[in-house]
Amino acid sequence: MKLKFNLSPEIEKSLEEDIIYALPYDLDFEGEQVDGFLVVTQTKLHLFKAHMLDKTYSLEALKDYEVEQFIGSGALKVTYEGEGARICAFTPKWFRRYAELAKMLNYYAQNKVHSDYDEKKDEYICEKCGYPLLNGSTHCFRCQKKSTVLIKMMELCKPYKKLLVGSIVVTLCVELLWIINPYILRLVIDGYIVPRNQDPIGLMQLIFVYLGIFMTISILERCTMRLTNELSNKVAKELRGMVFEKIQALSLKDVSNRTVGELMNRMGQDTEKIQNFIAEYGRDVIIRGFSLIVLSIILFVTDYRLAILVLLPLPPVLWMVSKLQNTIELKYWKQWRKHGQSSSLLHDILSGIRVVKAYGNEEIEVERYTKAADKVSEAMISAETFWSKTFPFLGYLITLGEFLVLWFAGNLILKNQMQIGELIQYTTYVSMIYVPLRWSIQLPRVLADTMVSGGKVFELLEQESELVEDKQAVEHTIHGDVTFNQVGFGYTVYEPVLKNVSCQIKAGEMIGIVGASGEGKSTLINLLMRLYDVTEGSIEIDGIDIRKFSQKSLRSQIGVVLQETFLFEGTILDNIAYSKPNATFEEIIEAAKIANAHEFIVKLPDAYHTVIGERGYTLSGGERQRVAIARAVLHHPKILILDEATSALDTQTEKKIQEALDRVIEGKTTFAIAHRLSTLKKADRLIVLNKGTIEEIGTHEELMKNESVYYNLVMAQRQTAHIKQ
Amino acid sequence: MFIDATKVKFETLENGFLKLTLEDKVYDKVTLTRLLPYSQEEAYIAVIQNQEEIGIIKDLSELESKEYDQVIKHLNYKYYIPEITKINSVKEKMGFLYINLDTKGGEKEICIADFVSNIRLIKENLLSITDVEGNKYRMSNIQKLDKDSRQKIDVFL
Repeated sequence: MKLKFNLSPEIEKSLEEDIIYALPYDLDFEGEQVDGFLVVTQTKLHLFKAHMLDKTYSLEALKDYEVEQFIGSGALKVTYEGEGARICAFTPKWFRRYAELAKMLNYYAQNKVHSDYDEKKDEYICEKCGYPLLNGSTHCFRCQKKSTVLIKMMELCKPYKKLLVGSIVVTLCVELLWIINPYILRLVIDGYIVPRNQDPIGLMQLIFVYLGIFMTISILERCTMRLTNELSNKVAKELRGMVFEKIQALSLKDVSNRTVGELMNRMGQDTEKIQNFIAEYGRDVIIRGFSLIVLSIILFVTDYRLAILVLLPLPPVLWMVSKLQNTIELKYWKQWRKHGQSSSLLHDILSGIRVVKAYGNEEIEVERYTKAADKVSEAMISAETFWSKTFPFLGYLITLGEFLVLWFAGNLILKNQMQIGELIQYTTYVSMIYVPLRWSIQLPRVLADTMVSGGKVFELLEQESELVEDKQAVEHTIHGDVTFNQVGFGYTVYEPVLKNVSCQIKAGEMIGIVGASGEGKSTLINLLMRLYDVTEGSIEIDGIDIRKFSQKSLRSQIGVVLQETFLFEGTILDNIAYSKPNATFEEIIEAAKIANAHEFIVKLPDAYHTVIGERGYTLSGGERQRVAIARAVLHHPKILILDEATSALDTQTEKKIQEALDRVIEGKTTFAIAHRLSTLKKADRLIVLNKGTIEEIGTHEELMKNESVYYNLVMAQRQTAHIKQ
Repeated sequence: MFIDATKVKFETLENGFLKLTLEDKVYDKVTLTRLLPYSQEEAYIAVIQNQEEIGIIKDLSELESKEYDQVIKHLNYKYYIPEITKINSVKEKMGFLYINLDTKGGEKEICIADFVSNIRLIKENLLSITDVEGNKYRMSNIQKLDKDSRQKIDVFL
């Protein structure tokens, strides 16, 4: 990303050395806005305020650069001459750049030479409009043309060209037949009914033609429906499949950047809008456009004076309708939001009804819900009042043309300059032309809505995963030696969680990972499973960098048991077999026995076919954990990861699980995040994390002798246990 | 738990940190945290050193004027949230909101993703906005916004 911004001539002139980095900063330490620049040259760091030099530091005296983050502000923090210091302050828009700068300067502090950097890599601001590139995308939503999205959507139809064309052609035929109908009616009225023409055969023939047209329309409309449904379903299936596959292919970091709700919307709402556009609206654009043109021509050719009367009032009325439509949509949207908020509140209160009653807060909750319901009511009244005051009147204005035609044409009939059948034909065409015109009012909104959904779906489909599989990825049978080489990582660039973590673990060792909350224990595990890639250093298994492993090969040889067990809706059998779908039932029973799960499963009425989940049997915490352990060991992993696997359980259940785990870890390289003394004592060695680095490493006895971080953690735990007793 | 406000001395050091002297005990590099940032900006301020709380200042008005200034300046820096004075325009593009607003720090055009989470009305009257870059803005009392501005933002509350 860009780390060298343009400087004013005054600043440039005042510098003797070449400029390496130059970043603006926009705050001082009193919360006042400033116009500042931090400039790094070969050996110095300068701070400028309002283009005047404020301070200069020698780079030799600075190290341990990091970004501090507050509420709406941040600072570049360093160690200066052995003491902590804040260099400059800035708003959050500069966090990422200063974090990157900190990395570069830390590199300098270690190596005494400036690192090369690629300005274009990780750049997150659009060059064109200056706004952030959103959701980790590499292209700008703001600058994206709607036509680009439209073209991409139409490309989705390529496999279904025949269906789409067929649907359009059949619908066009139906439209044509509808246009012919009023003409036949005119022939019947003016040729037979009005003049009382005594030619019943002629009349019968015309009636048959009229009926025949209606029948044909009916058949063709069924055909259109079938073609449209087929097209719609096929597009939906393909699109949803593509989106879901993409979500599965993305890394955990990419997926975690979005909420579950967002991803569900991509799969559901957004793909549905694209599906509807392709199958219906897109087709309707052609059909309605065709109708509008043909009917306009017919109206003008039949009688241009009447056509002018009909069409003249329309443009201003339609313009007013479209403006008012924006307002009414916002009002209805607000109503929908208030309704959503009140539903959410209701859900919250009902889910926590036990807590409500335990504290006797029923009245407070009734008041809260009533207020929310009142807001829904206010929004509804506002929307309905606005609608009732405007749209009926506008509806009347749109159809004003019909009355004008009736008046003008009525006079022509009285003067024998027009036939009744002609009038009926004409008014029928007039009412037909209002359909595409009314439809066209909502087209901009539908198009805009669809473009938004399309933009979001394609942004997801085009996203490149952060975790890229090596082109020559290896399939390696793991022995179990693990090495962390100066590993560094942060979920965001400016908040490193792990720094310079190095250690070697031999195959078969049981390693306990301890540390206070937020020290990076789970992060270390996530990196080992390659759910995220390290930002610095490397992790090797059997001497091979895990980034060179094929992801499937790596993960199929790692078993994991987490603190919060997630089991899918399905049978116990399905859940255990999840790690090895082609496992035999004997293997599943063996895994269940190792995990001490078999003993409770056989007591259930449906045994392994017991359905678990929201609509099924509810397992206790301990039972869920044992199913998870069975799942983890089914595929005989070489590396086992236990992330606080027993922390949420009572002592008796913990004992059962601990027994299972003791069996399970034999011969495997095991990483166990644990707080329980019992687990820690069993570990061959312990890694103690503190502030993202390894503070200590050794056996329980060795670390107790050190009387440092580990010792304090253990003593605190012993004290707690003693108090409980 | 509560610090005697009459016995504190704050000093902003050259290195940008805040130093506290409390009854002859010196605490280097303290930070201040508003415990009720949305309703009590000058009361219930926790004083923290190395993630451990030294105590809580119940009411900043009890401080000497020099200490009060130091504290307010530090809080203004730590909680840099420009106050919105007017909303000039709200445009939606590709599901993101672009808002042009006037703040006490000048005019700004900001981009908001997921406005359901990032435009919030807190305690009926306090409007809080967070843009895509993490910058925060607020309107302490939304009733004081002019009618035009209110209409523009109302839909998103």
